[in-house]
Amino acid sequence: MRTAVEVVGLMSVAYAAAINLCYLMLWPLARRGMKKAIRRRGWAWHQEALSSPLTPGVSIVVPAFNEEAVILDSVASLLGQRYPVFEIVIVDDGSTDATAARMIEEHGLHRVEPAPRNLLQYEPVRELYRGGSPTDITLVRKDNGGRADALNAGLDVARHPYVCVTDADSILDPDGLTVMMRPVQEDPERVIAVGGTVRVANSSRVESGRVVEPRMPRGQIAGFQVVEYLRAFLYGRVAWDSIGALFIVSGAFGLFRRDVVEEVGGYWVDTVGEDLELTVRLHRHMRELGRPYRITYAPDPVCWTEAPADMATLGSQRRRWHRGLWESLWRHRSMMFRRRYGAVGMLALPYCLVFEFGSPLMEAAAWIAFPIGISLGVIDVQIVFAYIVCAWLFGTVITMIACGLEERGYRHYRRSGDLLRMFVLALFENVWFRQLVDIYRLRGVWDIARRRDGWGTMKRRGFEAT
Amino acid sequence: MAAPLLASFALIAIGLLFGVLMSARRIHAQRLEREELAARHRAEPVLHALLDGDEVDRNASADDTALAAMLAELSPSLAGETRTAIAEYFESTGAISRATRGVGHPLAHRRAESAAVLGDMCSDQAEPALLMALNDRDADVRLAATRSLGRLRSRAAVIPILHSLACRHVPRAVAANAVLTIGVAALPGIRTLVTTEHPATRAAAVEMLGRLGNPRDGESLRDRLTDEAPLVRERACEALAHLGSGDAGQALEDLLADDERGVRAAAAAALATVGGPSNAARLLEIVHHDCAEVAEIAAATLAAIAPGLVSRVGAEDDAHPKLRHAASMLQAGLV
Repeated sequence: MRTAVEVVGLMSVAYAAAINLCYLMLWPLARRGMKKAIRRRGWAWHQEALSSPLTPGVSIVVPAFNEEAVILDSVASLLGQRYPVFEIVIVDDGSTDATAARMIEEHGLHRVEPAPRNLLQYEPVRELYRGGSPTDITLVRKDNGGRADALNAGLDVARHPYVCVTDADSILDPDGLTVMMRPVQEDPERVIAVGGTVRVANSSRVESGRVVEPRMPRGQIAGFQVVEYLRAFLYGRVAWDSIGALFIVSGAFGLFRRDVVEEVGGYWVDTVGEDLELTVRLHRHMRELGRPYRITYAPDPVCWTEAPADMATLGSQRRRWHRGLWESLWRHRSMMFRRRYGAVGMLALPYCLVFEFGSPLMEAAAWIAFPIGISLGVIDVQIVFAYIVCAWLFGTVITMIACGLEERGYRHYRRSGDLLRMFVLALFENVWFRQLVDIYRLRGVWDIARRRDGWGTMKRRGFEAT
Repeated sequence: MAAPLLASFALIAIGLLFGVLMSARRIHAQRLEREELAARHRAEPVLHALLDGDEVDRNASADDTALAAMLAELSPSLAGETRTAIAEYFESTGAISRATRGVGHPLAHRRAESAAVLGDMCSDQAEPALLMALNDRDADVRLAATRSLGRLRSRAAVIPILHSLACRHVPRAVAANAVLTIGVAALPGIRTLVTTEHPATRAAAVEMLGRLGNPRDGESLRDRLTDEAPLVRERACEALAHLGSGDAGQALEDLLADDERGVRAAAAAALATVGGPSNAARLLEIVHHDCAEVAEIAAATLAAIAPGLVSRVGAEDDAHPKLRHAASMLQAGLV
């Protein structure tokens, strides 16, 4: 018993040191990536992209299940995109509410005969509706099959060479698509996917489908997620992108080359982490064929989303994310530690396994081992304190660096009160929010062990209510 | 007790340090914003004088970068005496010389900034430095130089830009836009490259000829429909569709049997503007036998050139789904 506790204690310390070392190594990469993005903004060429007749078209695919409350606002936000050629494809995934009826009535859509390409697998399409100029809107009504299934149906009717996927409860900045397409315009032969930044919109001022004044959420749960998202996107993804190992293009805001997604068979419908799985599969496919490619990240374009504002919804979301992570890692386990798969196989996937999937397990082991160790006298209480303090301090510093990157690059939060709130939340995120998330992730592990599937429920308050 | 106390102190210290840094950063950024606004304010009278053709006060303390940034939004639409006046102004203030020197700066982002700003100063003196910058080792510098050469309407830059486009040294959209900004003045350069040895350069030239050329270029484009390089054939189809060369219908129909899917799709799409009902039978065959993507384009083309036929065939019980779709689109008035 004593030996076991000692081993777990030592492993926990080593694990904490290793994870912190990883974060430290990512810092210069994130800093360099953000610096470059900020500098280039000074002489950006968005206007050229907008006026060029060679700008490729983009199909925006939005899966929707019982989204009657938000669907019209969402489409209004998408119609406000300042991009020359795009269409909107709404996929009604077997909704039982008036999602489709609202779309048909508001946009005067006409029913036409479906003509699927049948290149991807998805539940049968029942009806297809199309609108006319000025902006193409397509509504696909199909049997319920889940988000990935709906995205496959949307991809199969999309007419443009690039596909931007987003959610019905998300709001894109008006220049979102233009900025997102910039890496594609710069390197169309190699860029096959681009990830954009997702931000928390709770409590922000939204007018006519646009976030006109970003604000820090009033509730603590959503507030902590602001700093958490900043760390994930401006720190993590920028850093991974700079070494060509971006392992996830977020499902809330991602852009793909349609032909390549079709080549790999579209989204995998048997997972709840379809965005991560598709990104890894694209890496795998291109590496195995030996084709030059880039899956990159653009920190500038922003998609605003409603983050869970209560613990039950947050718990359901995090359990699902953790299950999705495991499903993708398990499916692509053969890529790990294989030089053939480059930085993704050698670094990103092992990192995901050890530090993303494994961290709640290691933390739980530490929280159990330390009190037992102290009571048995095998672990010094001072060492435990030092461990907790170091982990806390380091986590706080990393979060603050991410907040600093936001302040340096974007300054979305103009009010001093918001800045102060972000700073206070960054200080205390590691005190209880991270532990709370770890508990949900542990429950996700339990779900995996019980082979439990499904999406759970996402309770939305809507932007108007904020 | 010492450890928690120490931790609290450390946390407070980190918090304070972060707070001070963030506040300082924000104050600095706000000051920069104010300075930029003031610089734009100072530059406004000079800008108005330049645009109106009035005498410019050379002693006015207008910031060259701010003025160039304001001109950036206008420069594509500026012409004639206004451009000359702007160029003379920047030459007289020494801004051109400074920015030209900047194109040789050791730091890549400085070179890129200088190359970008030169395009908005309307001076031909910047041309040699920008042409050199097209071969810069940094992609951002090449991109900025291409954009600027387009804005300067540099005829000398047409061939190097198309070569850069073909070699993927500059983004396709930026290079093509630069050539399109140069306009018909770029045509002599483009025409010389239509038969060049390098397939990618030929494809780029054919594409640009389709955008800028006139019906007289139809013949040279038709010749490219039988080019050995698939990309050139594909671009020639698109170019002919843009020029609307009506007599290319048969040549395009022949390409519906091309080995390359992209060429077949481009030929089918081109027939929507170039072809006529005489191509309908071949397109019907394509709808039934080609891959989904080409069949889709062929059905849409058919709906455009032979709506009656599509309505009739699409209404049949065993009609191909693409034709049924095209017929329902026609019925809904969406074609």
